Amino acid sequence: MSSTAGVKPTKGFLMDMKRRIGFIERGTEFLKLKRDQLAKELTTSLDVLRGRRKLLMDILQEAYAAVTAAYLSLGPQEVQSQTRSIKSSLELEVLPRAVMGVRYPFVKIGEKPEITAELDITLSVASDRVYEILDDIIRLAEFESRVERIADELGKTNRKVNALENIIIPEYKQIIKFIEDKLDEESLEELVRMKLIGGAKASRRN
Amino acid sequence: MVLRTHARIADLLTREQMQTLADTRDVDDFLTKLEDTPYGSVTLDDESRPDIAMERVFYRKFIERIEKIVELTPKKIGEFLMGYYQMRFEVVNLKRILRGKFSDASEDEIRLSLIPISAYQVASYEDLVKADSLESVVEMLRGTPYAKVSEQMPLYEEHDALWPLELMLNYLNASAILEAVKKLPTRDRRIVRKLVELETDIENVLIAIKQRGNKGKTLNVEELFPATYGISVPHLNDIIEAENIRPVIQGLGTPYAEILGPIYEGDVALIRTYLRLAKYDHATASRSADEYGFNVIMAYLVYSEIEKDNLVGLAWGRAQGLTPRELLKYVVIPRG
Repeated sequence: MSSTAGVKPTKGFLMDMKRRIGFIERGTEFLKLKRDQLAKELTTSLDVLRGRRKLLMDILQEAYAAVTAAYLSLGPQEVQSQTRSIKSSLELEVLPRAVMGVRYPFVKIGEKPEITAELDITLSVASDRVYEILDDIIRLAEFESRVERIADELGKTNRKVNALENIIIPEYKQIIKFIEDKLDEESLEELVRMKLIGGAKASRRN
Repeated sequence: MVLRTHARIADLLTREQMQTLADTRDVDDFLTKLEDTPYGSVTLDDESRPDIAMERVFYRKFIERIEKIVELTPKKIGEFLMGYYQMRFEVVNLKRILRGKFSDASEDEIRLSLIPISAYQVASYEDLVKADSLESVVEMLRGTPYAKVSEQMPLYEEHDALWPLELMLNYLNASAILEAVKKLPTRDRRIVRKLVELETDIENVLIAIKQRGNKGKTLNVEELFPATYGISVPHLNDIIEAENIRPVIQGLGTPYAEILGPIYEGDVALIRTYLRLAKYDHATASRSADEYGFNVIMAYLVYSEIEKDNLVGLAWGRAQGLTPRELLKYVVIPRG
């Protein structure tokens, strides 16, 4: 269906359309600015993320190897049983934070598990390794989530800008042109009619 | 009897079969390949945790093997073997019940964590599982060979930790086994004594190594090591205190220095693999020295237990998608 279907070709509507398109164009400019900022933020964040991940990955592999060794040394059932003797658990609070209107989770560490002396040495070594990087894992997860949300928002903003630039604004322009053409046509018709009426009146007077 | 045991040794998984199981793609493939071994087709009672279900299967199989061997052996040896393994497993079960009670785990969780054996020295595991607190469990152990666990309650309360109770259970187990060994003919005692002492000594060293991280805390080493054999309390104290552990470990001599070798790389789990290997080698050497006696039976059970531990590890590794290389590092591959 044409975008001009149902359009009232009136001066009032034209003015309203012009006001709207002005508003949309300004909004698009803002969205473009936001898109550029998000892209810049994403590029920087991705570099940071890559660096942090690489750093953590080596330590994480060591920790995972220690956990694997503990499981292979004791068996899964014994590991489960021993880990039960850790009384306190990890308590986290997830709070919202925002950057350029993008909300992302911020993790506040409440209580960390207290590893007491009763674990087998293999499990104790594994838990020490994991414990050392627990903060880093949480911060990295938080940062990854932030980057993901920024990337999502960038995608959304980009789609909005594209839709505005390629669909909405051209449609509005088309409607404005249609109304202007219609109004021109009408005023021309009006002019011709006036001239004809004027001509008829003049000939009647003569 | 000995000939039948030799035949059973031949039925244990070979190096190739163990390698094939390690090379499997996933749990299903592992179970398919397991069908081609004497284990045959196994049914898992919990599909959501195949690793734990398989662990139960391998424990049951190992217990079946012990029972079959006991049927073949003379009464005294049979009683010793049943006692040796039943008490070991019972001690594991008691620790798991205590841990469950300590952490307020549900009765079902505790029940599922137990090794599938019938109660040996206690009246029933079910009663212990249903006890309303850890203190009640310890109270229920009065009148059993584990009564001394209650003596550790002040330490447990002081530290709010289970290790005093667990150490006492280890000590009672080792003492009971060494006491039971005395009932065996003199020539048969050596292999059991050596196995028990080796295991206790290495576990003591592992506890001592762990205490190195707790410097500054006042420790009573006598409490930490209620039973010592080849590695004395002063040696264990040296391990805790020494700046450089290498000369202390090397000073322990063979086989301890070799078994504890991985500590220099920080791989404590590999120490247990080396311990299994040392037990395997000791059983093999004892079996070679006397091919027609108790040593053959004991060797078969040592091999079977190592096979059970290997299969538990491989099954877990398959469920986790680990590579054969990661797995085989901690597996004692049968020699030959």
